[in-house]
Amino acid sequence: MEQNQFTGFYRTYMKRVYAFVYFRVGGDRRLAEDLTQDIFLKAYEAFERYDPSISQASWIYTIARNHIINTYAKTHPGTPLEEVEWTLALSYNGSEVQAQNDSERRILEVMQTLPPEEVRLIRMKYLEGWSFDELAQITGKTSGALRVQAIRLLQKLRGLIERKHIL
Amino acid sequence: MTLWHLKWRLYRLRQRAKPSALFASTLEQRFQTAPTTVRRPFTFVMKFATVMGVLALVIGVGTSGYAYASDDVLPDHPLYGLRTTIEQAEARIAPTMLRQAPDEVRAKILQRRIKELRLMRAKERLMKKERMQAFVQKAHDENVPTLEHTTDTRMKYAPLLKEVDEEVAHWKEPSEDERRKTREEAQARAERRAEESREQLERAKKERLERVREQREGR
Repeated sequence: MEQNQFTGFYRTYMKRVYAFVYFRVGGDRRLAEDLTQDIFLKAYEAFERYDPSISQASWIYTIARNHIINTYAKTHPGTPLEEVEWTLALSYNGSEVQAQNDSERRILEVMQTLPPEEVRLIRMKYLEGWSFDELAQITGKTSGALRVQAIRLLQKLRGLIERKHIL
Repeated sequence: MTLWHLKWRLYRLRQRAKPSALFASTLEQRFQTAPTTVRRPFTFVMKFATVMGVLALVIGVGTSGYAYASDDVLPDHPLYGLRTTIEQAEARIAPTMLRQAPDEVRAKILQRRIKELRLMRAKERLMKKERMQAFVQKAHDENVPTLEHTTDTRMKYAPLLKEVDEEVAHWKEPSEDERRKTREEAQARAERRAEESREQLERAKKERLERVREQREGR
């Protein structure tokens, strides 16, 4: 694709990629910005080679995911990749998520107790803002099935939160 | 707690994960001003080569198609060699790739030769006799053995084989000029022989007279 089309692509996915990074660096805005910038620079360089048969959402998500994993592998050798990929609010530099209040942090902690696939759906839909159609392209499931699954997961999460008397 | 309440909490979390407008716009500007990778000369060369390649392909395919199918391409045409080359290639690959029987391929080629002969006559584009003889003989030698290989093929292609044999015989027959020349040569030979005979007779006559005269003088 032509690189002059990149601006439109950037505007569409910037917020989602930033949110994706933000929850993986313990809410460290500066670090999230650095990593987001790196991700989009990589995407910009590769944009001419982008195959339009792959969905744009799936393409940028893969770049972002790989970049986060590689960065963690360099700075935190020995961290299991699954933990990097699935963990929310992972402490990047030793401090906890700074900008979140207690109840919100606890919601994230309860979410962590769900299986990785379920956390992924809630995280991508409700925290990062991907649409169901984009999620369908990324996960390979139908958007209808994802909608139903998302409602069930929210109910499950609500049950867990109520049991722990968080809210 | 309702689901809406939970969604609201998640929405609040999401709002925290929004990038600052300054960061978003600064990064966007960076992409707008970033120099694009300079590949234009290469791209131009590639485009030019592609266009030339496609053009050559189109011309090549067009010329080959014309040479193979046109009624204007007869043995005196510059593209006739291309036609026979394509036919030879066809004869080689047809039995394996197109699963055609070899005799069918050869019959098809022979029919084309017969058709060419008819067109050459109709268009008055016959070549010199030696070349016509060679042309017909070549068509015969290349194709007929395959068609005469079995009794079945001989029977199947009998009319075609007969037609080719007639053409070969026709071009082997002497022309009117050749016949006249042969007649004249025969006549000349006959006259020469007659002259020689007359001279011989004259000599014999003289010798006999000589002998008679000698006999008389001797007495």
